[in-house]
Amino acid sequence: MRLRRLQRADIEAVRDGFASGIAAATTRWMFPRSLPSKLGWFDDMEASKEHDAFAIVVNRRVVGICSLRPPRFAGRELTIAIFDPAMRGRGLGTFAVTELCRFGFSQLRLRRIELGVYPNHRAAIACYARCGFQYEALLRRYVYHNGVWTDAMWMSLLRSEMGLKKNERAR
Amino acid sequence: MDGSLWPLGNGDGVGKAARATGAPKAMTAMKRTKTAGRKGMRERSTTSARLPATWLVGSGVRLRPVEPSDARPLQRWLDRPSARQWLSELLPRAGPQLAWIAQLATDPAKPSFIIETSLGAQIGLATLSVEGVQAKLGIAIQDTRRVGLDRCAEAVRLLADAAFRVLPLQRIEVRVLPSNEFAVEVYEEAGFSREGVLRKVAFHAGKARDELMLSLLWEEWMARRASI
Ligand SMILES: CC(C)(COP(=O)(O)OP(=O)(O)OC[C@H]1O[C@@H](n2cnc3c(N)ncnc32)[C@H](O)[C@@H]1OP(=O)(O)O)[C@@H](O)C(=O)NCCC(=O)NCCS
Repeated sequence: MRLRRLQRADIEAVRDGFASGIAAATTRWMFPRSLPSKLGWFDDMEASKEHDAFAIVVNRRVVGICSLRPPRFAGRELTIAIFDPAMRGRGLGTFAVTELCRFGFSQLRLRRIELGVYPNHRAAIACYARCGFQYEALLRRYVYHNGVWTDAMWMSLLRSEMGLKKNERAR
Repeated sequence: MDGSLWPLGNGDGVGKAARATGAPKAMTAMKRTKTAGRKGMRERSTTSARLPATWLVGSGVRLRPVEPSDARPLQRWLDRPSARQWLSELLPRAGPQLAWIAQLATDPAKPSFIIETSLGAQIGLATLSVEGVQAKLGIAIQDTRRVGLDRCAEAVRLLADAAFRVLPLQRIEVRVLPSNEFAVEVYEEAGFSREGVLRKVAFHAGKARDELMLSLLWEEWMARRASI
């Protein structure tokens, strides 16, 4: 398994992953999107200095996506989705989140990475906790999800909390 | 085209796009036997594997996003007099403009979907026009007689359900010509309630016409969802 920069050629797989609704219950319900509108999203991401997306690749197959996008509060917001349910719960999420944070702190020189997760999403919370994320707040009625305004658990990881190797550390 | 359902004859419509996406076109019985010999079987088996991904799936129909390649066949279809009969003022007056249709593939305020049978044959178009906490719904079926009330209503239900799940809407409304009895029946079957007749609000065939307003409220959707 590895993480690599998301490419234009990956967009169809990413579009299909979200359009199938297979990750919607624990992320967001979104209308299935046409290929050009998803490609437009990709181009905006590429043009932005505040948005980096990566493909999660297993045996050369794109099985998920993760990103550091502009924050709700400060730093960057982390997002992740592994599409194939058979690929979940095997440490892939922990690996991707760790790699992504390492990239964010060492390459982007971020001080803070934040994320939101539904309070009942035990697997994701366990995964983030294992990567060092700290619980900050329960943001009440924060996300419109599946027909209702839902609470979001907010977590963050600070650069000082991530065990960086010496050569990755900012002075 | 919101609030419009209209009948078209067999063989009209979006067949080109169907072939482009690898799905069979809405076939008449005759056409089906024609293709069955040479490549009918293969077409069928690849069809289910290559259906465009979507979570808007019911027992009889599925809704997938409009792609740019759908624009031309949709235009040919919507320009037919039999289709124009029911078109509302939302559609460009001089005939559905290609650019307007192509925009359906990318405009975030107009989530638009091709209605397909479970096998991938294309049977119509469903669009939503979102304005703040309200949305207008519109649906067009090529051949309402063959598609039938249940599948038409299911397409409406799928789109309304998805809209309430995705967007914080208070209501979804639909406007139809009172004479379009089949459409009224479809929307009522899908859970919409009649609100009244808006007088001379639409232009159809060069005349100002009344329109019947129907709506589905978030509470009504939520209550029905809880009871399922
Ligand atoms: C959330 C997600 C990224 C996690 O990735 P993953 O590869 O499945 O996670 P990992 O295998 O690295 O770790 C999962 C952890 O949850 C635990 N876990 C799994 N299922 C669980 C459950 N039902 N209840 C409690 N803990 C559970 C695992 O034991 C593991 O913890 P551990 O390492 O301490 O034992 C992934 O499941 C996913 O993409 N899901 C769909 C999209 C999504 O929900 N995205 C996140 C939105 S915030």
